[in-house]
Amino acid sequence: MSEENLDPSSPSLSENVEAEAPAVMQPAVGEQLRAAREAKGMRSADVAQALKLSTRQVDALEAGDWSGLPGQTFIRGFVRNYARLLRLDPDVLVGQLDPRLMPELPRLDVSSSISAALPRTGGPQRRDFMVVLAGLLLVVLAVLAFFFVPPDFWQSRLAEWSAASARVDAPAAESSAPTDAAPAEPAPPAAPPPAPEAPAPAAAAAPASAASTPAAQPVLQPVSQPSQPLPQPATPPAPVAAPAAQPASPPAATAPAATAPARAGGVQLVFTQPSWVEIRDRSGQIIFSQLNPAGSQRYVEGEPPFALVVGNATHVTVKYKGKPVELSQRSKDDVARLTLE
Amino acid sequence: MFSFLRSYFSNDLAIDLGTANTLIYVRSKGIVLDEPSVVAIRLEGGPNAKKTIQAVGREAKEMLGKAPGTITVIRPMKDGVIADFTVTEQMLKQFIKKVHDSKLLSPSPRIIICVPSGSTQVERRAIRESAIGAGASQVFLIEEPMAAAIGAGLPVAEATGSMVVDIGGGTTEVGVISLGGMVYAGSVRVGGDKLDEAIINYISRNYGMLIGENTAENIKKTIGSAFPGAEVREMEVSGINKAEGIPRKFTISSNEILEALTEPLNNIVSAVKSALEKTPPELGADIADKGMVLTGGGALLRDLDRLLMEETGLPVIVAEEPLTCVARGCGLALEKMDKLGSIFASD
Repeated sequence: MSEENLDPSSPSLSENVEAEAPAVMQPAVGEQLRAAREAKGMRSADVAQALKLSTRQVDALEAGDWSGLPGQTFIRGFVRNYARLLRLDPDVLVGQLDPRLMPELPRLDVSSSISAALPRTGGPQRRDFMVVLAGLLLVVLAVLAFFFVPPDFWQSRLAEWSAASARVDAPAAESSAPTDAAPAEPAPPAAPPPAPEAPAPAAAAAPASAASTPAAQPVLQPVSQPSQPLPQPATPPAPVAAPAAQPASPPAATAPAATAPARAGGVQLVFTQPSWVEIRDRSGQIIFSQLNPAGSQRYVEGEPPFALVVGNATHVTVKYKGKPVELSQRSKDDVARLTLE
Repeated sequence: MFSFLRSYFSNDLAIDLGTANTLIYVRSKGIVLDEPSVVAIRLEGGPNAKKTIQAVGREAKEMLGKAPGTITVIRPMKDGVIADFTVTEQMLKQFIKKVHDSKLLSPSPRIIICVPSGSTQVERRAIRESAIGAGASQVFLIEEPMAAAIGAGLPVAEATGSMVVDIGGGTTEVGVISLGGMVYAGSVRVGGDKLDEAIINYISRNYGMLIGENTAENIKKTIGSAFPGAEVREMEVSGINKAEGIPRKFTISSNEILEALTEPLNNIVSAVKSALEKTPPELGADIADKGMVLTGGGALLRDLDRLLMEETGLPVIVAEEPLTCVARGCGLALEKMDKLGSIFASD
């Protein structure tokens, strides 16, 4: 009987076994309440009147039909009140209530299946935010470019491009390469033998080199990068000068044999490690001043005497008029200062 | 980052800073402290004259009315709000120290603290500041009716009206809650203290006897009732006869106490009625079906639920363990505080 009373609330729950244990020994709480009420000769309407419940609720309590009652907290409260009205021990009765009615932790969050924030009206628009973001991105890119792209990036690119596209210019570039590297305009007139060569083969060498042996071509390429301090401007001059000079000037043709004896008046620098070199000519003007990468060579011509400042001197070999110059004796803190007459 | 580390070491707390009792709930431990909100301060004379805290909580409450001139026993909370800022701060500090095991780091927990729904901005600010002064890293406020409803197990988050009446030491809070928020909140500054006061005044007036606060509270707890019952109980009380100036014993009955309590109880009843008046009709229908729930120490007054039932014609139930309802509710809010927004009160 008691099991029947419990059943409507939760027939499918697996705790039935646990719930049965007290139920078997004693009649259900609702039954006890009903029995006590009838013993006192009260009608359920009287109880409803006293507890300010509806008759339906009192009947549901007695029948154990929890589904029609407002929830665990209230069921326990109503049973307590009912028991007190009938002068039963409320704690005992409430203790006998179905454990499934024990108050569980109430849910505190309002259930919602959707969680989307409403757009704010009147506030800053999202588009503005995007514009600001794009602007910031541009600034960041600019800063990155400033720090990470080498300053001569475009120059070197242009040089490579021009070298690839116009080998015609190569001989001219080659001949002026050493002097260009030292950005000294007065240098060419000061060195008469190569300077006049330059314009002549520039025009003449174009068909010549184009038609000449393919061996000349690979040589031309590295040479034709005057502004870029590439390794072999000094070694190639000899073979380069050869094809370039062949049609034009026989004296230049002798140059390769002697490793630029034609330029005997210049300063030859060979760098095994990066080094900074500054050279001033007779007038005191700077004719060469730059940082030279490791493994490169430079040939500087001008009007002697030359005043040299060579950084990282132990890794630089200087030849003047074809003879090596001793740097170590004249260097202090690895910086050599010397004058070549 | 540092504060994150520290809050890792100190447990978050929920505090029911009540007029009569302070309860502290520690996250995942439950209620660990339940002490009267009383502080005893000793005045030291001599060359190093200073004020020191002699006792806090239960110990201090026993000194109430018995202390010599050098010891002042203070109840720093009055009517649910702070009456003495510094002492409240010190009391909180002592209580927080008590519940914290780790001695190495000074505790800096996040604290949920409840405030009366009728408290003003200044009063809330004072509570917040005193909690921060006591070492809290963050303070969240929750209104007492909301905490009480959560603690009593009412379905606060559902779309159904629940009415809770929390009768504390200093205030009576009436709240109607639905969908996780307060639909109506009312607060009257009548609570256990006012009932005690009414008993003291009644005995002084009718018996010419002076009794202390603790005695009055004892009478209220033993034979106090809110509704005329079938049985009349009596109690022997001692006090000082005003006319003779001599301690005397006398007997007082529950009916007399009922008479004494009529006025403050009427205030509570009218607060409940006015809440019902202002409740939206749909929620009123839910309340008519379920009735209201009494929490707080005042709910333990005999037959108070009967009184409210007769006065309102609605079912009234007393929550289980009404004294700890607010603290448990705060604690539940604490456990879920990172997910909940709506239940917390703003400044």
